[in-house]
Amino acid sequence: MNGEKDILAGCIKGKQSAQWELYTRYSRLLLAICNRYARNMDEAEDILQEGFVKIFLNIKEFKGDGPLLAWMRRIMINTAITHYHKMLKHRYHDDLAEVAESKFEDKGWGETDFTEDELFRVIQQMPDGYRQVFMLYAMEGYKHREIAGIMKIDENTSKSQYSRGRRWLQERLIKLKVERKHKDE
Amino acid sequence: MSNKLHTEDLIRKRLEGAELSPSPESWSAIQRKLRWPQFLRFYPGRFNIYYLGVLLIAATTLVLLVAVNRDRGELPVQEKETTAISPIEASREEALKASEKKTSGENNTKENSPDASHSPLTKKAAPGQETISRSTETGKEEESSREPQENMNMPVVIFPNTTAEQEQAAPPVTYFTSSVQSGCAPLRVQFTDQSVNASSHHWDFGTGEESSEPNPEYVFKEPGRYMVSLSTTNHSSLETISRLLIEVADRPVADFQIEEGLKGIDNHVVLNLVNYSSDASLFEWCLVDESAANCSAWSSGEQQPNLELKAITPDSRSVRLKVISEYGCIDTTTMPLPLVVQSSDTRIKFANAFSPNPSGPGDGSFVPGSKRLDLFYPIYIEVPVEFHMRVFTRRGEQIFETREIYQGWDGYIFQEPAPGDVYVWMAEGKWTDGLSFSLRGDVTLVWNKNW
Repeated sequence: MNGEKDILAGCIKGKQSAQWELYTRYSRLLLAICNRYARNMDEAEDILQEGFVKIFLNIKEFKGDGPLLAWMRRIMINTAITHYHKMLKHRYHDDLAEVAESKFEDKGWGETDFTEDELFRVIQQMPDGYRQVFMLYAMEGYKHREIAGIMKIDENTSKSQYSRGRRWLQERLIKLKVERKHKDE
Repeated sequence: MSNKLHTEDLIRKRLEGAELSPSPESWSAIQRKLRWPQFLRFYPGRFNIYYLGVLLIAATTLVLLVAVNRDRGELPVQEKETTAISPIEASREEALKASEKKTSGENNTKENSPDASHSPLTKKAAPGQETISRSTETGKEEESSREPQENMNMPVVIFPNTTAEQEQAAPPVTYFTSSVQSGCAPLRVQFTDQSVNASSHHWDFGTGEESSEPNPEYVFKEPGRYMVSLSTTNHSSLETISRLLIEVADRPVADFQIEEGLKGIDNHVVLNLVNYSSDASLFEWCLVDESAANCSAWSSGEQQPNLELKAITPDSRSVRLKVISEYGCIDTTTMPLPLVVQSSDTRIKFANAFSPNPSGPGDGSFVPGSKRLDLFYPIYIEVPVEFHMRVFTRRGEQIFETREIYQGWDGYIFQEPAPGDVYVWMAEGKWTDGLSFSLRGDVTLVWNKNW
């Protein structure tokens, strides 16, 4: 069982061996995507598991009109957002207004300024509202109108959350760079 | 840096296509969450509620059919079938007696069963095959006797308002044998007609299917108890019937899934064989090699065994389950292994680069199962019983040695940072199954400023 078609056919029949192939092939990539919407690895894995359950149960619905990965990715992101809405009740709600406006300008970054681990860590520390909107806009290319629909927020809120999230991120990255400089000295 | 990136671009560039390894528990968690929903949905390749429903309906129908058939059969069905077969001569004798009776003046005999006192063997056996006879002219069906008789193939002939020709016509004597009387579904049975004076045959297999062949072969697909009857007619339209009970036992269904799990103090990976078989009382598990001919290396009779990875040989391709029901019926199924062990060497792997912690040397030990990028150490799917690893510079000087699997090289030589370079490593050891490994390779040490 090597071809994606075979795996797909197997998954539609509910074969565990095919599910395993699909999982081993894509779980690492999808976990990295989940991780962009989660507070920590545990939460990311929860989303991954929930997402795979949805994928296996609904794989019949995959029409083959696009790449399988894109379809699975969409499911993961939807799961992450649903997860976020569920978790809202249990979480301490960050007061977004408290984040100070930054005086730093976006001078730009070198591609290798930070490691993947560092970036993931910073993203996980991002206030939830900022993170979801920022990732949906910057990584998945959703429009603010679409984000407003998915996140059940106002379109203008989406826009302002995005620009604040972006500023928050910049500030954090600058701080990280400064800290490192001190360490090196 | 010449190419300055915006924050979005930075995140996009670095994180698009990034990969993270999920923990081994994730897969079993997914399978656990899937178990119920998948059972409630229809999948052709999986036992689910629909199959269960079909099975239940089939079972109910069968029970009803058997019940109806019992009501119809004039004879209470005996639990145990004996295969007592009377010689045809006996039946001829009896038939002769019957006709003697008739000729001795009883012109309008309605019932003419060979009564118990005439047969000395009556009480010895209780066969299931029963013979009755009826007149096709009157349409009146007559029972031979409510008591099962030893001479089961003895036809009882009824002579309706006899005419001269009918008196002279020899009555048909209906009797048949079957190749088997019980077995596992689907059961193939060869019926052989042994009747005398029969000119036409009518078989009823008790399943709704019929045949007019003299010696039909029939396959009972569904389990159950079937009363098979043969009625034969002679030239004078005299008809006699003979019956025989055929028992078809349920075949068990072999079904299982392979789930990955963890076991033992070092949390090594095992395969859990989760048994979903039905109607089975004995289980035989084994590992099948590529040719699918041999059950090699590992086998078990447990209902739900664990399969340890060290039991898997490079030839192993799948797991076969054979189930046996209490009636001795057998079913087998095979599932492919989710992984292939290429050789003893593939149980252990070494990184080809690492980046030591610039803040200073450590002792190199780490927590089993953790992912450390600042140490050089192997990953493995099973803990070796013996392990010895050495690291050399390119000039051949030994700079690190360990016999401890949970200890790696921290990238320091005598507490001083080792220069960024290519180093040669050698590792040897032994697995619990006695196979040993001896491997060598190189590793690139990179000092990462962004640590």
